[in-house]
Amino acid sequence: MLGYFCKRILLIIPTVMAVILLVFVLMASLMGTDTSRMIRYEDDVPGQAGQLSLLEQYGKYCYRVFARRDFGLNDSYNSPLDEDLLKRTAVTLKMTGIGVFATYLIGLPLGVFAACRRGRWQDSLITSLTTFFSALPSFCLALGLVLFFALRLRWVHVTLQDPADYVIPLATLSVIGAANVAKVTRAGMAEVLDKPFVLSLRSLGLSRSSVIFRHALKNALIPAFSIFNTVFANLICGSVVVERFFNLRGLGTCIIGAVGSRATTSLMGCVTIVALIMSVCGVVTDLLFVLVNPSLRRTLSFGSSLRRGDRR
Amino acid sequence: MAGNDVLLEVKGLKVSFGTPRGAVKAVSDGSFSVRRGEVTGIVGESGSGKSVSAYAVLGLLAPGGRVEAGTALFGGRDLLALGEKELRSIRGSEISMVFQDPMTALDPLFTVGSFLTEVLRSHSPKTGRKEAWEKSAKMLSVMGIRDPGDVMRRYPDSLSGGMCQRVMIAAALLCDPQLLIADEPTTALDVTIQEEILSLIQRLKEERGMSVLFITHDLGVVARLCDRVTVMYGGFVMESGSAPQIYEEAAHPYTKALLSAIPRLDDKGEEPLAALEGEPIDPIDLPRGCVFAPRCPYCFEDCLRTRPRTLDLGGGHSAACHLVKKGGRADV
Amino acid sequence: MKRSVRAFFHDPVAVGALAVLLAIILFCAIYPFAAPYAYWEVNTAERHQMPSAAHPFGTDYMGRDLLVRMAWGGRVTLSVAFLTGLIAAAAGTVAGIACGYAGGLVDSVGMRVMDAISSVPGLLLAIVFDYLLGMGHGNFLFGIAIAGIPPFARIVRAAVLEIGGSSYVAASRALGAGPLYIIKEHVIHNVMPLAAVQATTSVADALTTCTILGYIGVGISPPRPEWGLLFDMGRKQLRSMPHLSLIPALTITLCIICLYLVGNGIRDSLSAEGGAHGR
Repeated sequence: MLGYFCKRILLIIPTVMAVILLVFVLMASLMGTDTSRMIRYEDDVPGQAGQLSLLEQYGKYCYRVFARRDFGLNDSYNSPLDEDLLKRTAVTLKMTGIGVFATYLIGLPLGVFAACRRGRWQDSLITSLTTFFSALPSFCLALGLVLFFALRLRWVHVTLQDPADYVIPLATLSVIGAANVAKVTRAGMAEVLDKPFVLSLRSLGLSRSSVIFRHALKNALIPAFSIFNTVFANLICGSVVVERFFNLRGLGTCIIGAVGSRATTSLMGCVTIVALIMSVCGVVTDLLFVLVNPSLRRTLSFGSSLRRGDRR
Repeated sequence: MAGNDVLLEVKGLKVSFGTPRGAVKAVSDGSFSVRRGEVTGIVGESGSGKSVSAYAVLGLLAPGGRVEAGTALFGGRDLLALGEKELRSIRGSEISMVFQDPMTALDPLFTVGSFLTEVLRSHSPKTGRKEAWEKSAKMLSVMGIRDPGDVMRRYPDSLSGGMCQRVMIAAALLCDPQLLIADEPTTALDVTIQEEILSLIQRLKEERGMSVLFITHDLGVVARLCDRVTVMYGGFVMESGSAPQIYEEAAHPYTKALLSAIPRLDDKGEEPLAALEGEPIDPIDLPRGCVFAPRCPYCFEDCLRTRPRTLDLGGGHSAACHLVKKGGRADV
Repeated sequence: MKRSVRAFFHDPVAVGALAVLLAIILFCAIYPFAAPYAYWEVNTAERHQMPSAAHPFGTDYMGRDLLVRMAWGGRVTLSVAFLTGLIAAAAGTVAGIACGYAGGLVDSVGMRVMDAISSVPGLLLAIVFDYLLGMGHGNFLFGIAIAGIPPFARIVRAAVLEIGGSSYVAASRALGAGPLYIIKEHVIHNVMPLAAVQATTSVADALTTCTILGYIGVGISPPRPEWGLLFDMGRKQLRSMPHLSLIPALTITLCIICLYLVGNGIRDSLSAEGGAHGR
């Protein structure tokens, strides 16, 4: 098991490099602009950079990123990108990190509650709300929260002056994710509660709380955790919107700015970091998976996919 | 019949399930009893209400199920009138249950050991972790498992069906219940494993003086194991009596039909096995008369008009059929 | 099938939602021809107007009529949403049937690809596609469509596995039915209802992504309006003129609720027939 995760962790960097290669190739073949000098560096000597082939540029980029943490030059300001990019990453990670906790903290109990009240009004209420919120564009939710809590009740500032003001962007981020988690948890829990082993546990006189929280919930956590990757991906998407809405300097606004000004180096940097974050997420997802499903520990082998719906 | 001999006595049980099409009358008149140290078999085809009756007794009906009438006396208490909390303390410690498909009856995310110790400790919280572990291992070896220590550390998905059923029976007997309800415990198993589980149940009954309520559709199994038999059809009890009474002097046409459908080794092959014509009844729209009338070869006017009353034939033998006369069998 | 269509039209909520949705679509299709203004028509004399009889939704900072801009925006947003949603539906159904039916290597590779796609933030996929393939040519459509495929493929695959494992397919095979016949007769027939329900979700998701792209200014560029873009323009006057952002936001929300209710209605009517597999 340990070996499996060591391999998974070691695989992160090659995965990210593969993503970079993909983007490089796509850029060179599809963008149709001058591809001889896509990434600009601080120590570029004018006139010399044009000689690099695509592969050389790729090699140089990977080397600089992983060995020297050098993401190149910010296209619009001619200043090194690394510091700004890392600062922005920290902002986004803080938001999404707290967001993912809040997401599961809200989503899991809601899903469990709905499943235990299956067929009653509480269940239909939660199911309707979660379906609605999981489809709602995050800026609509942000607008609603801001209009109500900031402009009407005046509890918080739109401009995010106090730490407490961050509740609104965080709520925007996590409510939508929580809706997804609640949906999956409810479905998983409802399925588990119908399984024969729940009946046999009840027939042996185990308490309701043990049957629901110790046994059924643990089984329902498998589908809930298997979407960790997707939940995090959605949070990153959400943070693009939230950062723009609340004028935060995070990765999201960096991407928007880079696309707007066609700043390839900045966009490459953002893509690299997001690819890195998502690869780490993949490992975390597998880890969570093994955590709730100990019987998988034996069957873990290299290259096998854990998240397969048919392995129940 | 001595009253104190009877461990569980179910009378007039009525269970229905609410569905969009209407109430499904799963059990309309369920009456049976289990005596101390005896095995009572409930026999019937699927949909006869045999399993639902057992679930109702333990308060384990699926959502939508409702007990509408009846009593289930067990040690002076009416189980059907008890609250969930009191029932829970009875389940597992005084009455236990074993299910049809052992492979799905165990939580796949817990080892056999943690499952067994949790069951034990939930009924006697004072038991220490280590003591519970040892007790569970001992119970597994009583079940005929050779290496309990190894099995205790395994997850259910690495165990065979017969092994799972042994673990399930061990869990059921861990707290020394007086009554074991076995709901078709061998149906999902291979024939050779079936035999092992049956002899295990028989041995446990003899060694521990335990009573068993054995639910099955297999009259052959009943013949081998049961002291008393209750035959159900369409939610009604058709006939009940001691095993010899049912096998030798079956009074009800349905019981006879079931018996003639069993292949016998001593059969010379002169007569074909009898098959029952027709379809089982629709439990939402029960016929006004006898529920078996539509399929009964001896059906006459009365059968379609009124439900037959249960007649005592003496010696604990009773049947519900218009053709059965007091003190005798159906004149057919 | 006929029975479930009838059941659907007996469900007042679903029919109402469908009617609202059709009304919005019809309005967006027709109103631009009947409107007294064009979406680009700047009128500096009538800047920042609150809703009135002349401008039912008010005007923006350049005096442009919001109602006609909403109608034009709806044309863009709704056609993108339906187009990409349905492309994702078709591609996902094909992929799901292929994976579920073929099994083995095709299945494991296919599902790995689906895992990979769904672990890429869908919005980023659209942004990168738009950036790489050239902005302003609607290339973000590919991104939205691709991001919509995995959930579809998973649902369909699960259904196919369930159907493929069922006894009636085994029986059909035993009677000599070929794979194409089985796919046509059993699989598609049983998967279609599920796919229809998922399609409404898929369109709603595409609608969300499309408006978010408009909101962050990727994909559709001004002056052509789009609902998300209109929302973003109104956001600058959030305090003084909240209706400028509230109207697009509420319209988007209304469309999504209606899509959800229609999907719900389809599912209910199918389960009334009893032909739908799974939950």
